[in-house]
Amino acid sequence: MSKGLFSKLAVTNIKNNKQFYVPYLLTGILTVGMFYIMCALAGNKGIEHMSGARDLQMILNLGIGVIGIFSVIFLFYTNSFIIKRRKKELGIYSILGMEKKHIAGILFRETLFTMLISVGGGLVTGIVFNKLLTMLLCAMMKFETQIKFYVSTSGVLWTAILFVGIYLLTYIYDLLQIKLANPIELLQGGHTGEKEPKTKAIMAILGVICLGAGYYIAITTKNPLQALTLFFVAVILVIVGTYLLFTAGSIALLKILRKNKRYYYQTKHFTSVSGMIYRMKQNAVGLSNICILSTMVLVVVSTTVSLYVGVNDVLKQRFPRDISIYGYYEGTEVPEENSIVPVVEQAVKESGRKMRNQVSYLELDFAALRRGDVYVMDAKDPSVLAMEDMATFSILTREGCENRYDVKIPELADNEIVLITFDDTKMEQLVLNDRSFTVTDIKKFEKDADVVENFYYVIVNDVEDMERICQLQNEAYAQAGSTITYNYQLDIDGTKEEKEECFQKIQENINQITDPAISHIYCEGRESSRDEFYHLYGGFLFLGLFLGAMFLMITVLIIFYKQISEGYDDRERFAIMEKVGMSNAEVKATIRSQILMVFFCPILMAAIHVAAAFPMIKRLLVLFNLSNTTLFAGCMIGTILVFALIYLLVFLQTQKTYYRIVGEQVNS
Amino acid sequence: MAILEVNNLKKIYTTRFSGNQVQALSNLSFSVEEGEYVAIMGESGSGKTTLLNILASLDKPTSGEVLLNGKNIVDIKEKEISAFRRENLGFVFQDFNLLDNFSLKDNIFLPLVLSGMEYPEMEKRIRPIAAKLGIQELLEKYPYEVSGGQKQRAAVARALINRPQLILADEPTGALDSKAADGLLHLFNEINEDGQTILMVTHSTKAASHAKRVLFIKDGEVFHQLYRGNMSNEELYVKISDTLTMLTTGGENHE
Repeated sequence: MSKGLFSKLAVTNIKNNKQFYVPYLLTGILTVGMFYIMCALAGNKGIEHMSGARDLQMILNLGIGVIGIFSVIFLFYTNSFIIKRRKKELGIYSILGMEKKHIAGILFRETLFTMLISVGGGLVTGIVFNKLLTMLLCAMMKFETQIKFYVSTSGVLWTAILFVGIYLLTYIYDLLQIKLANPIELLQGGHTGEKEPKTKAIMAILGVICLGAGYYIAITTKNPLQALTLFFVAVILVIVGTYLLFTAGSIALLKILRKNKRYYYQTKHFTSVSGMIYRMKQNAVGLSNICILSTMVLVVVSTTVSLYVGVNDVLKQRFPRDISIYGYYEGTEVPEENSIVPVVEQAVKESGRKMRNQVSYLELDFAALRRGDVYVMDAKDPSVLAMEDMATFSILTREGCENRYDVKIPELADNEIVLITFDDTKMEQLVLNDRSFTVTDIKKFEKDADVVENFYYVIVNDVEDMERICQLQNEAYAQAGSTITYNYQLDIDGTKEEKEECFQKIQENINQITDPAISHIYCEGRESSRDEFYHLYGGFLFLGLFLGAMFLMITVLIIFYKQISEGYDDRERFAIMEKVGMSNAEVKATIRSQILMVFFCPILMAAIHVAAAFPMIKRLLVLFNLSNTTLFAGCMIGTILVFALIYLLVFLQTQKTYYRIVGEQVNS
Repeated sequence: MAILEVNNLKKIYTTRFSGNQVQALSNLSFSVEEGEYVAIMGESGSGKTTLLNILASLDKPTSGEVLLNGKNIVDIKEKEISAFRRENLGFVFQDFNLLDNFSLKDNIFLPLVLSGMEYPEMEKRIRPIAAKLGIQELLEKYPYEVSGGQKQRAAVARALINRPQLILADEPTGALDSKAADGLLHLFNEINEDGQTILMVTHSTKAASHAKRVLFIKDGEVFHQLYRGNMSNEELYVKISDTLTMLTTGGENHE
């Protein structure tokens, strides 16, 4: 056969199957474009020199990885869907006398054309939109810089390598499909797998257990640090649970419904229950994919948006004042003379600002392990890892505490302390190793979200008491012991720029302090940190939205293809039902209820997942200093609403396509 | 008394692309008495399928009327037509038209479920029918698990279960091997003997030779009819063959 004919046939085939190929090509173009843009951004020389670029580069590289992986999975999925649908057509070629190598030749050209359009179109799209997205990224990160139009050669190269590879893989997959099948199988391609699925009770139960365990972890884990490690466990449990529930659980449930004769043999339930059993077999995986992708979109977008929107909250939480200075004292002694305050005062004066709201206090933080009524400090105890027995103490002096919080503490004797708790702990004596203190008063503070479990402020009378406790824990922990910190916080007047300038000055000056009593010293400014936070969270937000958009696109496409394939399957079924005496209206109602169920099951499940994940993510956000639950809840609900709206639009659109396919029956 | 009366039925199709008009039925009239077993024969393009679609109320004629028990089914409103079909007609198709996702039992129940019947009543109805058709053992099986003949018997059970006035069979032996076809035709005879009116469209002489009367359609009109009288199946078979030969070779247009 002439090569020209192959190409002509390939083009005709793509045209004839355009309802499959147009979305496939569009997805190809978009994924290629997105991948290129990610590559180009990560390699952007302009961004490289900006502050916070390291974080950003890390975030973008993460993005490249995620997009790359999903591109592979997704293009593969789409291709396998199309080739399954087209088996009959290939079977006809085979019957008409084409050899497998001829069919392979046609498929090769089809893949080649698809690849050229997708990669070519995608690169052009990527290059065109790259500047726009770079500008968007810089705006989000509050980078002020001139963005030039440029083409990233390494980006083009990497994109081309990855996607040519992916399309080559899909071609090999297609070849295997026709190699393994004989013409008759190919002809029947659309009609295989109609056997009723078996009930897999164990898998269904396992699914419930996995999901339950995942939810349990998400809801009950209180400690943010633990949440971080357990989060991935919970995610995996929920993913596994979702797949099991959709594949095995749904069928088990439907079969139970079918066993109930009175329920099953009713006009409304009869066709939909059996139809769903049939559908679930083919679509369970697709539905779980949709569910998990939707959950990812919701989580990623809502967290990144709330982090970004909440930067002010974060800053307020992280930096109670404009400027904070931390001086770590050498040894266990607090020097008589304070060398920090005068330097800071001088620096503020030099930069022409005025300071107010100064707060200073001494603090000593250390951890101990709870053993019955005694808190043990021992560097050699291996069970330090037992998180729930770990208590963290922060020692404050009476004066420091009064400075810091608006409370009055009465004078205390040597072995007397006041305890500030955030939970309902009651104790009359605090025993640290061999020292015991009488608790004269317990004050309960409103729990801030960032307070870890078992955290206590211990208020001692004066500096000497603090020094004694410092000695005690230093003896126990030796090298790993904590030292007393001098905290000095202040607000200054002026604009953002003036504040930053003043902060620079303070930083310079305190770095020149040479006080043998101070081991090291550093300071933080709220305003200069604001930029850093915007860089980091802006990067996260950008990636979140970018990935969100990609997941959404994938979800939409899976829905679209599912709907089409179901339409073709259902066409015959509805034709038969109508012949046997089902009315048009009944057919329509059945179709509607089935589509609704199939469509909104995953998103409902996704919403439940997100709701269950909410407490855990809330705690994780605390690690990023965001404790504004209302804000996060708002972002999450907002994201769900927007997502549901887009989902609904896609639903209405694909429903039209579906009716058009089944339509011959419905409208006749 | 005539259970079915077809008067001056005419159907003209307009082809979609050229707009040409094609006359499928020109002026068709016949009637079927209660308890009769009528076979309608004709070549491809003679209008058999069009006739059956109109009788099944799946299609509307251009003019003419179809009276089932005196009621003109052409005038039935779109909304009521499915219920009418469900309650008055039973269908047996060439390709069975069983749903793969239903067991045979559920396939048979389908018209009853659509009519909203209670489950115990359905159970009561299916037992004698399944026994008669010899498919009691197969009820829980799925269509893809049984043979063609068994599928067709299930389809017959589905047609019978709503106790229709008339069974319309469209080439019911078309997809069966000769043994299964014989079995099915005997079954039709038995059902007919129980009083069920059957109208069968076929171009199989063998199938038609089981009927009590055979109508021949050509170019959209009833061309000829044969009554069984006292003839055996074999004698009727010969008669039908002769008529068909005459139809194709002795008719007005030689080819």
